[in-house]
Amino acid sequence: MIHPAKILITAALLLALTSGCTPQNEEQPGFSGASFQMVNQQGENIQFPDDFAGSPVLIGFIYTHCPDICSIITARLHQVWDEMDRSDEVQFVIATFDPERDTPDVLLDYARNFGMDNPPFTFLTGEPTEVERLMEMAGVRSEISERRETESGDPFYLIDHTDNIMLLDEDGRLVMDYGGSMTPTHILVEDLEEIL
Amino acid sequence: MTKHTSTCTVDPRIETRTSALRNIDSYIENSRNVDSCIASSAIAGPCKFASALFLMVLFFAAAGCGERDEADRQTGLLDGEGVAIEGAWARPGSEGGMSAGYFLITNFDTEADTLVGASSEVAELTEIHESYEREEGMMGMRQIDRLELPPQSTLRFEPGGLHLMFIRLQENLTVGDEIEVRLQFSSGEEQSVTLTVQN
Ligand SMILES: [Cu+2]
Repeated sequence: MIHPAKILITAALLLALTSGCTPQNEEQPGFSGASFQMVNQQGENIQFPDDFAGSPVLIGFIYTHCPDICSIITARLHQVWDEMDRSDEVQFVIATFDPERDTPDVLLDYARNFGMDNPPFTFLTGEPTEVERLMEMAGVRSEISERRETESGDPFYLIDHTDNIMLLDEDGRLVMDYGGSMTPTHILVEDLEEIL
Repeated sequence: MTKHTSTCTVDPRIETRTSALRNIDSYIENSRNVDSCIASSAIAGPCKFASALFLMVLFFAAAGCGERDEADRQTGLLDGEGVAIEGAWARPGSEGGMSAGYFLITNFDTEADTLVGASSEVAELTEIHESYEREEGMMGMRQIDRLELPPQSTLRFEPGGLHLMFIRLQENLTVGDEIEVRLQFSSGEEQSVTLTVQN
């Protein structure tokens, strides 16, 4: 049996969901002016965000040992690409915050599983210190939550992390920071089309 | 600006909104119980209003389960036997990597049942997991040892919530593959499920 209060709460939540989200202001410069030495899924050096200058970038943050939430983020970027008319004018980037396990080869396998191993999709990893610097600037937090061994004795760990997709303009400035996995695809498409 | 219905992580409201979404999701997950409440038609005044509103939410959120709902309304009971699985699928994955599996699980019995584990040849470990928001927008996942299936209810394993977690895949899972999983119940019974790999 449903308590009427729960309905009010649900209604309030629905209202909250359809209300506005403030775009980023000057206090959130994004990556403009910064530069990070990264490596893509092909093992090529990538300067981020420099190498993407001139196109808006939709970037998601993941680790590949996270098949639930992070798969939603990755698949979301693919959906946005799929649903956009001018997707060839956008760069789609997935950056890992688990560089120890997410080597270029692992990222390439992962990208293939999502049908995203070719442009305009770029998967980024790098030296742990450089990845850490990037995540810090992005405001992406992650920490190991559980560490154990599988039956074969291999170490295995899970990571707690913030759930982010960000929209950057053609100069690497932050346009919008979204709750990644739960952001509806059409919102991302609309926001991208607005800045194209 | 009002068009942004999404969440916004630097905004302190974001956590609330993210939880809001997740809460609604879990609300909807639990809603199949509510269906039988509605179906039984023994609903008091406030519940009627609540149910009407909730039905609307359900209608938009859970389109596709209409046939059974129709049956429910006629008999007041979910029409079936034991525990049934529908819509089972899993994410693609690479050998040595991970995957997640999803399905709807319905307990048609008038007594509760409990899911206590899962096993599969495709992974070194197959676990029942749940993604959750730990705090301040931090997402995590945890293993669930025992998952109660209330009588006459459906639980939804879906992205962002309950999932089967395949740890250390023994083989590549590519779109179109089918994998077998055995679900274990507290009664000692097992049930086999076939998941189709898709994105
Ligand atoms: Cu999991």
